[in-house]
Amino acid sequence: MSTTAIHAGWDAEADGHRALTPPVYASSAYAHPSHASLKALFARRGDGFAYARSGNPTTAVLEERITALEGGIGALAVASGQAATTIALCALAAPGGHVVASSRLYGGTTELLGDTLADLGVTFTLADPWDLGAWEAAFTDRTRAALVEAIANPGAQLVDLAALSRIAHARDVPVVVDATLATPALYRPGEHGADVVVHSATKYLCGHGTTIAGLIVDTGRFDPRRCPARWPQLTEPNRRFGVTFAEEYARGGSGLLALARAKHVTDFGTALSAAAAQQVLVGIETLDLRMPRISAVAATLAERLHGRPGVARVDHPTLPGRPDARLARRDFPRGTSGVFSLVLDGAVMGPPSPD
Amino acid sequence: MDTGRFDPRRCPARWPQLTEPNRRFGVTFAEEYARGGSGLLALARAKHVTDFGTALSAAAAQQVLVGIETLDLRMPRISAVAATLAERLHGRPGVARVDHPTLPGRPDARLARRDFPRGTSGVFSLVLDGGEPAASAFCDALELWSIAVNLGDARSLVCHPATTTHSHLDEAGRAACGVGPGTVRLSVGLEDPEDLWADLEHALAAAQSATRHGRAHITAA
Repeated sequence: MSTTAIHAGWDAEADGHRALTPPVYASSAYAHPSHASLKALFARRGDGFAYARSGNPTTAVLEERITALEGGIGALAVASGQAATTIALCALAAPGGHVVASSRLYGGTTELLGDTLADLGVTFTLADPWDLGAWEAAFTDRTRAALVEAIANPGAQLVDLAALSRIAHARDVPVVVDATLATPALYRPGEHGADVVVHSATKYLCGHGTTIAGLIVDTGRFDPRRCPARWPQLTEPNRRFGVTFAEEYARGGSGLLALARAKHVTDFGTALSAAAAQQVLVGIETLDLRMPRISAVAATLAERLHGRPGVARVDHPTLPGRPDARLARRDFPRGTSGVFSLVLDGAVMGPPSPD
Repeated sequence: MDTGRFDPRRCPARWPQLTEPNRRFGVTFAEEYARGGSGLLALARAKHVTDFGTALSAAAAQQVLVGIETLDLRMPRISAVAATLAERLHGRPGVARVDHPTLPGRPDARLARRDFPRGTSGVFSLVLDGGEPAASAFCDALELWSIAVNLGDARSLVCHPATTTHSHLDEAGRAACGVGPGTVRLSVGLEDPEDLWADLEHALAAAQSATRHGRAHITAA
């Protein structure tokens, strides 16, 4: 994957100046040679850029690169990981849809479901992804998305994504996988049944803590034309934009991401800046080196902490007793990333006693 | 920006998101007002910026900070040039109407005098005789002004709202905004005003020529 991580999405030969590294296009607007050219772009009959709130040449390189790394059909760069989750779920489920969500999500994601997505008319049920019966029971007629983290934050619990996806797909519900901790260097959710992959690129993809960024990838499995009545936002002509977004699939593109870019990224104003995109691109160049190293060091530290006095429990998928150790061996041959948790003895809530 | 006028505590039942304890965050946002802060912005930052993921990057903030350093120079200059260009365009052959608040007949000329002593900014529109073909010829003939959908740049920009910024509205929606097929929006930049005017004059001639040829074509048909 390192070749893809360094080269996908950018061809120096094709650049006007043969810039070897994707440049930062610090330009909000793009000049068009004619009235007809800009008119065609707004009528969705042309390629190119008009205004960076819906795309920029630097973010387009990042989108192509993550698409190649995940083996998807398209990607959308957004201002943060939270924006990626919000927009993916809005595009699939708002208004009035239901989301089956893992009970082991990053706290901010569960808060988002309970607060802002609820404002937008989206309901949700939390289910333990290790309990396939509970997962299956959480689906309703209104379920429009299932949401799970490939590696949970903070306990590093893995999921049997193939099994979770089979349950969702039997109901024609797409599976959205937050692969922030995994990255394509360790795990490609699309190969295990994910329909949509979201990343907080702020974390391992960027890798150096300098930039907030998010990505949404369409793996190419989801096709709203199978149940057109369920996805009117994609299968019916959109009055505002004058197109039917599902037609993108016939051209090899993603109707879901076309809708998200035209509507949600524009209206919420969550485009990624070119400068941020370029920092994520630089980070991705070393992803294939960093992820196995970070995973190996995390596993070693977890093993050393396990059983130490004062440590009640260590949550790492490779340690004895973890039911997901089997998944670590089966699905994560290069490691399970760098985040794990430990539970310390003596965690007394409240202030220390005076003595 | 919260100007400090809004206080949800005056009608607390109307603004429960501010005046009632928020379970998620464990605070009542309206309490910020008592500390001289903005409860509205505290809510927006904690909930909306976080959940929609729309925080501004430090790099972007720094560029806006640099821009603001010259704001007081740029805005009166851009306003004055826009007013001059609008005045010169007003009544020219081929120009059906110029939309600028300082021109005769505008009901808001009084507001411009009363509330905008330093000018009314750099964006205004003109309506060309001959509809979209004239507007298209006008835009294409401009050399210094760039065809782009942005405004407020140091560069002068032109766009055709009916097919770009307002293309997703219906006819009635466009009419309510005063946008017709012949409307062209100009965003005046900081270039030499005479260079800008020369380019506009040249483009007006191209628009009139396109209109004449279009009519001749229709007559011939």
